[in-house]
Amino acid sequence: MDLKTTYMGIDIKNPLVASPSPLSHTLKQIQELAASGVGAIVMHSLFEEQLTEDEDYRASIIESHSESFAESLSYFPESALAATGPTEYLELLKAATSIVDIPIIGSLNGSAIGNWTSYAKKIQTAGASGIELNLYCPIGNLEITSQELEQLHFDIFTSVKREVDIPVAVKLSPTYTSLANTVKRFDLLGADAIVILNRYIYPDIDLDTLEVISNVNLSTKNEIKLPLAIITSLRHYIKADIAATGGVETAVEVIKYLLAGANVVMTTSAILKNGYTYVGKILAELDIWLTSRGCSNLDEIRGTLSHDQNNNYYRSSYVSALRKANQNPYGWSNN
Amino acid sequence: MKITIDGNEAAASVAYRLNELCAIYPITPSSPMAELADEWSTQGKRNIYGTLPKVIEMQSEGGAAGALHGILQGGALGTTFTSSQGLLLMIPDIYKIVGELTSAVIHVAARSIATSALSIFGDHADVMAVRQSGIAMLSSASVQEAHDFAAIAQAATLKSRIPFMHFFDGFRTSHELNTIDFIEDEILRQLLPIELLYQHRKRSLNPNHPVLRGTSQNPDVFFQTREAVNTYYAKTPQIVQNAMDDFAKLTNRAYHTVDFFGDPEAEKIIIAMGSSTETISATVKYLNAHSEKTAVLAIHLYRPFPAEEVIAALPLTTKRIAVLDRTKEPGSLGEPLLLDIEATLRKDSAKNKFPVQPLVSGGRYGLSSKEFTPGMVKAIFEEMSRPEAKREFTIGINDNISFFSLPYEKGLNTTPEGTVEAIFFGVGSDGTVGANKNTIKILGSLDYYAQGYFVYDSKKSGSQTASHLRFGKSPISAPYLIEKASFIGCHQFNLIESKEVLDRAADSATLLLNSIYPKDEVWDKLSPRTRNLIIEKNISVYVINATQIARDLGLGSRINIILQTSFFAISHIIDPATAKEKIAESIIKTYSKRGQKVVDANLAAIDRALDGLSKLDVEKVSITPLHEKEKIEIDGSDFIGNVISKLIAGEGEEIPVSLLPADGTWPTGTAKLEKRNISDIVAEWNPDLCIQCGNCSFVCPHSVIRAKYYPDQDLIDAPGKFKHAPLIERGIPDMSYSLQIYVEDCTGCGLCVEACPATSPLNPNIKAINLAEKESFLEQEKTNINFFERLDYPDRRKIDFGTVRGMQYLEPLFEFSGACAGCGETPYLKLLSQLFGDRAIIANATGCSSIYGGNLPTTPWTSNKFGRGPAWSNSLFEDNAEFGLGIRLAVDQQSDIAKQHLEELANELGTDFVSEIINARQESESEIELQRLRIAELNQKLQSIDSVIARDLESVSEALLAKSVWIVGGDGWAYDIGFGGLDHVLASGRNVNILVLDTEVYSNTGGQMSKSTPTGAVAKFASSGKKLEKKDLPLQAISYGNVYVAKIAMGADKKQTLIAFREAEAYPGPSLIICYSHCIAHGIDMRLGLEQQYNAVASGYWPLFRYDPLLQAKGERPFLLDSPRKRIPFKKYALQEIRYSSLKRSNPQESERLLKIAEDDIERKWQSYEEMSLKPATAYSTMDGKV
Repeated sequence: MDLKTTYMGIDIKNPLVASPSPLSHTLKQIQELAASGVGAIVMHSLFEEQLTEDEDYRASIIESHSESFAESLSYFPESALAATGPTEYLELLKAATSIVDIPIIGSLNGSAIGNWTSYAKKIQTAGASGIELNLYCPIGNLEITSQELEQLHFDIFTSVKREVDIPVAVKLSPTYTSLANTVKRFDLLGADAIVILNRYIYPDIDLDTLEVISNVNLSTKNEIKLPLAIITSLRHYIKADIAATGGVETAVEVIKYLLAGANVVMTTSAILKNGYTYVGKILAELDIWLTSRGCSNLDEIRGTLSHDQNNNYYRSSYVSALRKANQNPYGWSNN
Repeated sequence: MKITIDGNEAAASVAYRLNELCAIYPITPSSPMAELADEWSTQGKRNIYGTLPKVIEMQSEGGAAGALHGILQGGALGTTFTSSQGLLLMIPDIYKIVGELTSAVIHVAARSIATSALSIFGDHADVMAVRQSGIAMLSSASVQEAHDFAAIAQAATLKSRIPFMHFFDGFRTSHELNTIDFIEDEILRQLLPIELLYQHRKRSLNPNHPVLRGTSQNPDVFFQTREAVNTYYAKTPQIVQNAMDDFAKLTNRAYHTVDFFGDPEAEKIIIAMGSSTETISATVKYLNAHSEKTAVLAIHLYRPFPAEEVIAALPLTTKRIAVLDRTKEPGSLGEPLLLDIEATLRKDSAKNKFPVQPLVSGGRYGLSSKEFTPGMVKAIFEEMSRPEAKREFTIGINDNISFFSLPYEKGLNTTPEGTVEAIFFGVGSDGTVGANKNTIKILGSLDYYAQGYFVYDSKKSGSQTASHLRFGKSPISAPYLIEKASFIGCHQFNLIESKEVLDRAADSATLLLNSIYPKDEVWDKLSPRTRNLIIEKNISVYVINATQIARDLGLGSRINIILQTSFFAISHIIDPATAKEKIAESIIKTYSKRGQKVVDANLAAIDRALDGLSKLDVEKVSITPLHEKEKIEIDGSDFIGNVISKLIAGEGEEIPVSLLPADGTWPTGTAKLEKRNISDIVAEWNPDLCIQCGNCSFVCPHSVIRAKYYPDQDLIDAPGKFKHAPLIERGIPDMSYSLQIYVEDCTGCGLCVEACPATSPLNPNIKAINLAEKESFLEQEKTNINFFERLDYPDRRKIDFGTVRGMQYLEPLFEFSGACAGCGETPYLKLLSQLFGDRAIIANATGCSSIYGGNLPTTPWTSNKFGRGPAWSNSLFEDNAEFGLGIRLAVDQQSDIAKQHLEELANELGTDFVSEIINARQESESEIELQRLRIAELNQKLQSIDSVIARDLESVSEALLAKSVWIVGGDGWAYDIGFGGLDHVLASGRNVNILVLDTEVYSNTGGQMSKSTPTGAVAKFASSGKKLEKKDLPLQAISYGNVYVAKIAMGADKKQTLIAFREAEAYPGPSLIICYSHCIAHGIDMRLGLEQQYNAVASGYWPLFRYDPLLQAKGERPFLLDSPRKRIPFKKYALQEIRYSSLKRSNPQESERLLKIAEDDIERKWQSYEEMSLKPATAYSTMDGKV
């Protein structure tokens, strides 16, 4: 089965892409990810760690006691102090691109204020095949209007796009006032791909301690519904490629996203939950599903269940053919 | 390639690349070598053979040497790094490694050996203590040599089979940053052909060609065997020289086993070893340029001693030789190098060369990193010119007893023309040292040579730092502090008044002053002395309010980048644009690990610094008479005035020999003299809200919160603003209560505020004790303290020892220590001192507690108004349990002698009296007080008895008062290096109390893993998280049956802490208390230390329990579980701390795995403790422990 696909103009051996996650923090992990069979890897975001922890506080604790006393100029091994900064990130990226034979996509997180364009350029220089720009809509900001927020994101995208020659994808949150219009405008601005959708880390409340806590949960297959609906609706109307992300637990979700029109499908949770070998299982099942329906490549199914202007299934004739072939020989759940 | 590194890194960089295994144990100042090796190993850096070297941390240096011996016998290339006592602990294995002709290099940052006092600083006492072992000794004098000789030593050991000790001066070289030429891997490969490795491997133990080593020999052959090694030693000097020659071909850096420098026709020659030879060489160059004929002979190979090379190197013109030793061997004919040179000159070849023997004198210098300067070298040469020159001398001190010391002048500058000399004064927390290290690296990366040396004081909180930096276009060989700097950075405004700051300024120097005052007010804020010095020395003054800029940018106290930028802007060493770019680069490199926000704030600091810098118009008109700096007014003995106050004022260098105690005995009660005022924010008491619970006073690590109650009428003389409230205590009417904060000693740690349960009903942010800016009430509080001190502490016999509330009225005999602000250890020591201090003897293991407990200038241990208080001593790190046991044995022996004499004198003293005094119960304060009265009565009675026995009894009568012997130390001691001794003492059955201040890491030496380090925590040598479980020391102790054991955490249960201390002390056998001690090495905001203690207990990680053999004897359940089942997940506790959370960031999966294991262990252990708590007395040993 030919699982080859292109994403943002990059040739990829299969449509399963590792999304930004703790699994790309070390060279060893990146090598293992590549060996697992994924088509490409999106690195963790350059600034994502900084978003989730109070860096100032941490730094002040580490720094305030160092270089003060002759016998103990520091208290922690340097290597343990998390190599998450730009220098280490770029070094890791550089090392990864020279070692693994699949495309590595760098990731920039767009809600932090920083020296955008220079980092984008450095990511390109480090050998990334593309950049994923993660645009985050902060919840609870009372001061910014929807228009201002959108404009800020367009500006960030434009400044990055202008600086680099490699393709740039934007990863969007579901909370834009008019998501479809926002996607359209990114498309017009030249986005090479739209990544749908960003997941929020929602706070929770601990009833024992009456404290607000932050939990990072792995995504579940129920979460496929919103991105699936969006991709199904928009596929036909934008030039940019689409990456689907969120809710992939098995090959079933991958196939659904492809049918909706995604060029590639991203996952982390499935690998975190089941280990690296699970990638091979998903790909094998995808292969079987396609074979059983007489397909020889992904293009034959991609976007077949997206909507056209009349809100009908695009390529409906092909869909009916598929339906006939769908004997569901393996008894897969279809929900 | 040029790089700028310190001596430790220079040596370790080579040692790591030439070895396969490192077995180490941390000890200052060598620890960074081992830590770097471990870092490189973690990063996957390979050695020149393509192998990934591995590092193993052992339980002691003795263990490291044993492991090294095995590593070598196993056929691997191995090394270790050590200093001082560490090297001494290696001696037995060194003899073995030497005896078996095993190739290895041990790298030593040479350091003083503890004698009458410990010192972490550098001299040759340690390496000289190994010179008899047969190990070859190669001495480096500089950072470059530490790098080069590490390689040469390795080549020589592999070729000669004699193991080598490569050493350099601790701190002076080990911690000096300098620009050196780096040796690339390829050079090392050429220097050390792979065949040498193969030969080494062939000599290993291998069952395929088995041999026997380590035999036991008899008189028939042992002697001959020892003589069989002679040929190896005979060849070694030439092998070393050959290695040096090979090295020179590869690097163009030529060395010799002994290096002569100076006039080829020199008449006066100094022979020395180590960094001093750099100073002597520079001075020789200077003197010879001024028509002198001087020279220096630097000894590089010290063992086997290259006598013929020494003779050959000395010019025929030699008339006088001064041999300098950086060590002291009391009672010897002379120090070691002197004796070697004397013997060398008696060899036939020397006699043939010198028909008239040169006159040799021997001098001691530089002990414990005492400065050795060009002025001193000049003085030695001048002394050699005198016909009656001293044959034995010292330099650098004023010896007014033996009169060995030579006078010398300060200020002789021998650095090359164009060398910039700058000194920066700061405090530990402001980042001054870090910024200067960075400046050196920046300049070193350009076409500059740079040198940096950093001086720290002995305090762990509010410590002062001085950074001495030199830059120039040629290599810098000046291993001594800058005496006259052309640039002075004063990074804290209050430091400008320290004598040292402007005294070290050269004429026309530039001063950069961080001022919290606006530019137009600065001049008025300076003292007349400072103003006059600025004018007299024509100093240009630049001011900047870096403190405010740092606050604005959210950088807290880290003003480093602002002042670094200012330095470059004023000094014009490099062009401003390059400086800006380089600082920005270094910010990204340094701070990117800390986060983007931190990077951005520091980048912003560059621009803010340039905007905020301005030059002061020095008002030359306002010259006022010169005033000397006010001396600290101290009441007390001459010793306090002549010695302690000088130490406090930073004038210890001026103290002559006669004033110092020869046996290391110092007075206690001196920390109170310092009044360090290290925090602007201090605790402030609110009497209206206070419920007088005593919590704040109980937890205060610095003993700055004192409580007294007293009759209301005592308030008649009170200052108007003296704070007081009616005493709440029931049954004691007409009494007032005062809580006094010693504001000048408070560190502002805030633990008291966290511990205070009383909150204002109107504002939950206001408690009965709060932190406040002290400026507005400082003077008032000083008056209040004076009055408060005149009030008596309540009678101890009336205090309820069973409550935390009662504890606040007991006078602490441990106060105002220089421990870290918010220290988790010191509250336990303070409690010990309150409960038992007036009859306690403390044996203190080396570590944090011995440093804040006994590092000069002062000690926090003190005495009460009767002059009674803890008698304290530190023996060593490894022997503390045994040391304390010895004290117990001696006290018991004296008590036994006294009792025997009492019985012998029963007729004279009265049988009832004798029986009473011998059998007196001494458990309560009243009983102890009664016994004191009996002893006083006894001494009175003895005066009228004229007999030898009476005199003997007089000398031991005080032993009749029950002494409380405490053995105190940290987990590095108790779990690792001292464990063998601790275990033995527990098994001795003797009445000692062992207090383990458990920080779960080697805190004093900078956070290395101990066997107490918990699963999943990161530490040095466990950078990927500790994989194994923390040793259950209490459980091991319980297994003896007769040991009282308590596991406590003050922040979780103060009452249990108090009970444990009292039970442990009362128990007549060995007691062990393990105290949870939060620590800066945990990576927490220290203000939250008590909360973390609570969380540790709430998570079940640190269960509180007591095992009391007395209960067992009574048939009751002896194991008492004092804390409830876990209430919060372990993660919730652990991830508050950087030691755990950093692993979550760097390796989330491993963190998750280890935290899960830890959580499971908590559950498993809890079940086991719970079972123990339910078991009846019969399930435990019936060992009563009576000995």
